[in-house]
Amino acid sequence: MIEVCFLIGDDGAVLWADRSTSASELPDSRARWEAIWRLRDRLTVVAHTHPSGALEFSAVDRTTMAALDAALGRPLAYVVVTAEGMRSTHPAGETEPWWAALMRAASGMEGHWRS
Amino acid sequence: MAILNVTYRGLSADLPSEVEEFLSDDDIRALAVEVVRSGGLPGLHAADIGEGTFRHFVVDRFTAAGGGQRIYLRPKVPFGR
Repeated sequence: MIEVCFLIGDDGAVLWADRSTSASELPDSRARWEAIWRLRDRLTVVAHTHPSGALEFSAVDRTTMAALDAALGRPLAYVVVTAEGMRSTHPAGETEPWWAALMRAASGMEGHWRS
Repeated sequence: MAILNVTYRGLSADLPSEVEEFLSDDDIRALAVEVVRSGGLPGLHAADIGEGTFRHFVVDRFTAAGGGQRIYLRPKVPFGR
């Protein structure tokens, strides 16, 4: 399993995606930042997976979210997708969108439901 | 010397004056706070920003296509766990 990151537009489209080689981290990436900046006018959600199953934002996630919001000058919505569920910083974002299943497939989490 | 670019509050701009390319990352962050506070970053004046505003930003250093040194202060973007 690996972590993946999707950038989602205001129309629900996947604007950009990348992946890690690790199940526990997506390292810093200039390419990811350049995609966020280039797509900032359409970007509404930054989503990533937690193959570990932790359905919460980590300390790294939270400081990254704060830095991104400061840089863009507006708050984005942030989403964590695990094999079992999804968590969003947006109050209306708890209903799973179509791309959550795609993220699980890209992360290799399908079939890894915990009992 | 290097051109410093700072991204903050939806703006990405170069400082009008070049900076020493051997400044430390912390020096770059502190310099960015000062220029944003003073209005030295074209298009942005935010006198209210705190000392730690850029603590979760990274300093990207590279040689531009034309050969000059560039320093970008941008938000970090790792996620994990």
